[in-house]
Amino acid sequence: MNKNLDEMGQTLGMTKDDVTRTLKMKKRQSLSIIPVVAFTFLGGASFDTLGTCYGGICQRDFKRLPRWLRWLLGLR
Amino acid sequence: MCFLFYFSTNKIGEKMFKKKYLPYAALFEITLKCNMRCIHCGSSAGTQRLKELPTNEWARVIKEFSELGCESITLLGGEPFIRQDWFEISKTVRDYNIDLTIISNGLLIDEKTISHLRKLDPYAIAISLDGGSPETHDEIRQVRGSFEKATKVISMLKDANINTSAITTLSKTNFKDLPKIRSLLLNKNVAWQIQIACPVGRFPKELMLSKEEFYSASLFIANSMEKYSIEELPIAGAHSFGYYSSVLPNINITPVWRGCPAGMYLVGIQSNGGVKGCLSLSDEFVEGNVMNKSLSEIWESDSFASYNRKFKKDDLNGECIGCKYGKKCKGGCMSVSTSVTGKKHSDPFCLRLIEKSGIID
Repeated sequence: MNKNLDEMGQTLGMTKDDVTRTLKMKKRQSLSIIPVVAFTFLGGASFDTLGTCYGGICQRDFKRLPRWLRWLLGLR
Repeated sequence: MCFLFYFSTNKIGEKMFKKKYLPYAALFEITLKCNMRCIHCGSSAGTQRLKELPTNEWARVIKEFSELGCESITLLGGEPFIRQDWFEISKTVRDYNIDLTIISNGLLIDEKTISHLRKLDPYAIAISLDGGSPETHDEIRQVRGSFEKATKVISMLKDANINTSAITTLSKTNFKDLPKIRSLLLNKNVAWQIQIACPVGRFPKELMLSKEEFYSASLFIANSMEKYSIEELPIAGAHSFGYYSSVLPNINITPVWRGCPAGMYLVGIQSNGGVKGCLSLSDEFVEGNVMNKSLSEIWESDSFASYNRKFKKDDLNGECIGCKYGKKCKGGCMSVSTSVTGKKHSDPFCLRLIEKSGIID
């Protein structure tokens, strides 16, 4: 495990295990890159909207997607 | 053929075939007047600008936005609820069936305000929450009792079934409060947006996060995303959190970062009518005024937001030069880039750059 990352995590109360699990999330997102690209291309504007909500994270938009699709897109 | 037809009828298609930019999202600074004096305020809000737009001018501007295809308008300030006509302006937005978000410090929100807000069915009401305790929040906001008020208003909005967000602007003053703020927001179904304070307006440079602190905050956001579901804690970093990290997952509100949105599908209007690609940008970026020209004339002008619309890889500056993601990323957040380095397309608060600099082994 990267010592610096562990130290950085500790600054804000994260354990080594927290950091390890967080890094695994990156790998999961990398696997979902194909559906992300496909969805961006086909979904176009609706996907744009996810990123254009100022002042509020677009929770309504996120929640509109089924859970399995959110997981597949790496969106939790 | 059907494929081509599909793209010619949606917005992506419009971009591809007509190269037309549409202002999907607009930010309206409806007044610069504010009842707080936050130390990080990039607009140095306090007193109102000379010649702020009256209600009827805002109505005209909203109509123009609607005609241009705008889908989302955010009212902010200053403190937007200071304006006596905030409801009329908001109602006009909703009358055009445009999503409405209001960003406020919460100080003027009471039961009566909330009953008005319910009638508007807003997309979200966002309350600034800069600390996990009164000591930090009130110190930043320079108003005693503001923490108590902000947390109370967040609860009141949730009780009224209004989509609620909290916005935390990070600096050295509140960086270590992140876990406390998270505890406050956990399981409240309040969306949490974290952004960084930049050395513009009245924010002193020495209070800006170091790159290490910025990276820790990013790790914290990523960890919170891993630890809690979106129902428990809808959290994300604002546009300044990115880009293309080789270690951390995506924490940016945009699922795929494709460069600064200023002038591409985002536009900001100052309270005196000044138009710029994004309200976070300094006044040097004002490229017209809706009092002198129509919005479409400004937006559709060949020179508008040319820093983004006509971006070429050669425009990258500083450490972004030579980055393999440079063409897509365009050098990160324009506001952070210009306020920190004085140059465009060279945002140094980039996770990938920080990782390359050796902070991460």
